[in-house]
Amino acid sequence: MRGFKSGFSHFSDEELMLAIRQGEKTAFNELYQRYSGKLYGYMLKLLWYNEVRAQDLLQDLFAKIITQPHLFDANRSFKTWVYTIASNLCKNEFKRNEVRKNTSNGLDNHYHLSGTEDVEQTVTDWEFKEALDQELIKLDDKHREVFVLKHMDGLSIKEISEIVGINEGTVKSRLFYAIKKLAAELKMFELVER
Amino acid sequence: MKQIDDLFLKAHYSDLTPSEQSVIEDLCSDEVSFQQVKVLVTRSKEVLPVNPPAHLLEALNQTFDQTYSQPSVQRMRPKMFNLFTASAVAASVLIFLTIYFFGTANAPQKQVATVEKKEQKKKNNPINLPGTSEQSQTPQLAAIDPIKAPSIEEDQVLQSEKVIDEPAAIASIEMEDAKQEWARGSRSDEDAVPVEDNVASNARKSNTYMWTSGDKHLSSEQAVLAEVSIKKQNKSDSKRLNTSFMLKQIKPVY
Repeated sequence: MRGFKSGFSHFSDEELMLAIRQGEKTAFNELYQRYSGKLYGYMLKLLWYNEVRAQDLLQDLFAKIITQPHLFDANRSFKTWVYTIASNLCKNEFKRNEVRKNTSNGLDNHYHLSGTEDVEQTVTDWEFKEALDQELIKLDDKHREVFVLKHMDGLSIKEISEIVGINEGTVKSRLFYAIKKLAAELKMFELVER
Repeated sequence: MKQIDDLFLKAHYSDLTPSEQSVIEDLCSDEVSFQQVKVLVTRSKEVLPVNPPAHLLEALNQTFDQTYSQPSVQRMRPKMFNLFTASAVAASVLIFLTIYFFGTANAPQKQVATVEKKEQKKKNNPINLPGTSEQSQTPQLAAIDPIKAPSIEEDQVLQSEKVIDEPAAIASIEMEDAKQEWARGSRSDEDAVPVEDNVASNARKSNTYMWTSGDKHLSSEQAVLAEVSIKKQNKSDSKRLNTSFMLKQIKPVY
């Protein structure tokens, strides 16, 4: 392993997975810090903000990374791989019909107000994010998933097509529909120049 | 789609070229709708990631410890297997070397022993050709310590020659006596005794003849008679021998 054993911050995701295979706990913690927030938010949005189920699925996902790191192909992107697992876990949850839409469950705990920022701007941001979450829940699963992956997690069209298992054209059309729908619902919010 | 995202980075809808406006025509056709989509696309990326609860990480760390504490033992298995393999190979090699060296160490002794036996046989063998000299045999025994046979053995060899010759001489004398007795006629009880074919050969092996030969006071002339071919006499005269008569001729030694 290159560098210090305890410092994995400069390692790529794929290198961290190789370190996890060798039992490096610090590498796992680094990987968890990188992806736990994004994946947890992704799962929350796909599971209608059911925190309990999202936490269970997130734990299952990272437990799979711990117990079965050999399933990861080093030639493949870890980001795509881990989001694919998260997507499949959520789809399985859809099939079980165990997810109950709970729009008001724990939304207030996710967004933290910072005293240093402009209070008015912060409140506006919080209002926008809450409204966005509300509108995302109203979207279909397939449109919500594509929008979250593209505009909230920052994945490319190609990566989304690999994760969801559809072609890029379908991703674009779904994304187009989601944007148009959400923009119409969130038209009351003005763009704040920063 | 990346091009569309880049289009929304521009401040106003009027900044777009006609071709760019045609690309996003379905999304937004005027300044108002353009700003709405721009708000959505821009601010949705600013949503902070939601941190999962801390107990989740603790549980995963426990899972990690449990998972990689057991494989640590499993990872030792190949090392232990190699250790066992190496020890087994070393033990087998040690056993092989031990057997090899012990075998090679014992082999010369066996050779020496066999050579000694051959030497003793050669010395004990009465049929020594006069032409064969000792020098012709010495190269074979060059690597072996010469074994000097004691002088007693030589005497024993001479005695053994006498032992061989004396019964034959006695037998020849007794045969002559038997001829005389046969010419006079045998008794009826003597004919009842079965005739033994190998009397001479049996007499040769008996030690009693050796000690009784002195009592008979054999002369040199009689001894010369013993040098006559024994086999021919045995073949021709053994059937005529009367054992009972011969036993009577033998005097007991006290």
